[in-house]
Amino acid sequence: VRKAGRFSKAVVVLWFGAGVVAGLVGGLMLSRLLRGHRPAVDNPTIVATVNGENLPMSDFLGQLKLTAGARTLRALIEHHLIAQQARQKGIRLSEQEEKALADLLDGGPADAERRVAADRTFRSQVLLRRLLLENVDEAQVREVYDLYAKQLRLYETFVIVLNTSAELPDVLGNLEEGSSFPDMAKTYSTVSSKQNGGRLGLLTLSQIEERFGAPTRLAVAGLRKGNQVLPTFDGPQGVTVVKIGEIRSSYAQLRREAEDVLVRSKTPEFFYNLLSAAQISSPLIDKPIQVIDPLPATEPRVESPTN
Amino acid sequence: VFARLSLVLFLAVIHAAAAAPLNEELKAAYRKATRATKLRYLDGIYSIRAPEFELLDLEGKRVNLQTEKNRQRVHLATAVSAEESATLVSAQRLSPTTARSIVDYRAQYRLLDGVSPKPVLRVIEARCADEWVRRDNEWLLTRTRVLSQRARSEKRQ
Repeated sequence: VRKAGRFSKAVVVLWFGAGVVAGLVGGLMLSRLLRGHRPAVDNPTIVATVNGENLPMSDFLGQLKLTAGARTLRALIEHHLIAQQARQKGIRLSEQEEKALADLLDGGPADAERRVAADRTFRSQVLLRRLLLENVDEAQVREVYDLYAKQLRLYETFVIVLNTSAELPDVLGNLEEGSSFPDMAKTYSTVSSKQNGGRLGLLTLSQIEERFGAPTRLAVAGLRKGNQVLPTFDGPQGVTVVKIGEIRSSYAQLRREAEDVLVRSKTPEFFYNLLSAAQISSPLIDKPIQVIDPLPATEPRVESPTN
Repeated sequence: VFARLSLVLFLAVIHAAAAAPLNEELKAAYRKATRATKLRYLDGIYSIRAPEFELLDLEGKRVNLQTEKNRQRVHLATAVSAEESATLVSAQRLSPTTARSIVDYRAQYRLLDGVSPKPVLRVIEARCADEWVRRDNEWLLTRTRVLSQRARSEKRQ
């Protein structure tokens, strides 16, 4: 009886142990399934797993240094120099800008490192702008606007791109009968802007020319008012229908664009002076740091709550 | 003789009066473009060009404008500073909506070569013959022909 009791106790312990192990393994498998097999998130030494094999983080960092190391480091140094300058001058983000940053991070990357980088990049852009516009008065901004009002003008641009002209009569017919352009874009367009109802954003005339060619630029430049569909043309992606929505042309609407011109004009010399005066050493930099690349000239205007 | 002299004087005054606004208007157009160089604002530099604008080099060959634009973009983006001036040498109205002019350009760029930390001063001087059209109340360039050009680099500063 004693022997049988001891035996049954051992069986219970064994079953209990097996249950715990099975639970742990099952839990682990379930958690991996739910996370979509992303061990790198938990394990900082592994950047990815490929068919069950781990890719070490050190491999990733080495590749990153090789392909973009110097450039990334230079950007990081510039962010640092901007922060130092801003601190010296007592310049900081406004409450509204802090809120815009918080909103941006809310919809941004999930991991801490990338959030820190996104935070730093946003702060740098805002502080750089503030530093460069520090001694700029209203008359200088106004002068830029008065000289280049036509070039600064912004056109809210929508597009529908079709693979062939077969669907064109339907699209144009529906638009004529009062269907909304965004609805038509969502239904017929073959490019990614269809998700936003075909909206590309606010573009200048030169950006419109770069995307759609000189004839479209001419057609847009000739518009006296917005909310108009332009003549259809064969674009690089297919048959293209462009609609111009709102047109922004007043000083109040384009003041920021005029400021941007001044910011871009001052950026290279600002960084040249900062980098020349700074003491920087790093194994990733083997020659003098050049001035920063200017802000891209062809990107559509970024609309943020601080505009 | 007095009557003839009066007529000549009268015509000269009329001609000068007609030329004065043209000179001022073309100078204003050149200022718009040269100010844009200092601002590194490519759209501003091209703001005085008509859509049909063409650029002819020293040999009279047509320059590819996209190539020129790309080169200028890089130049302006990498220069530590950029300055340009234009001096109107002569201007002549050909009709109410067309004109031609001769202009001397002088551009100065402080450039980094990627080797030395000190920038080189690059000076480019050119004389150009320009043709203009008046459209939407402004003068626009339809053709520029480079008549002479020289470039030199000065010591690092």
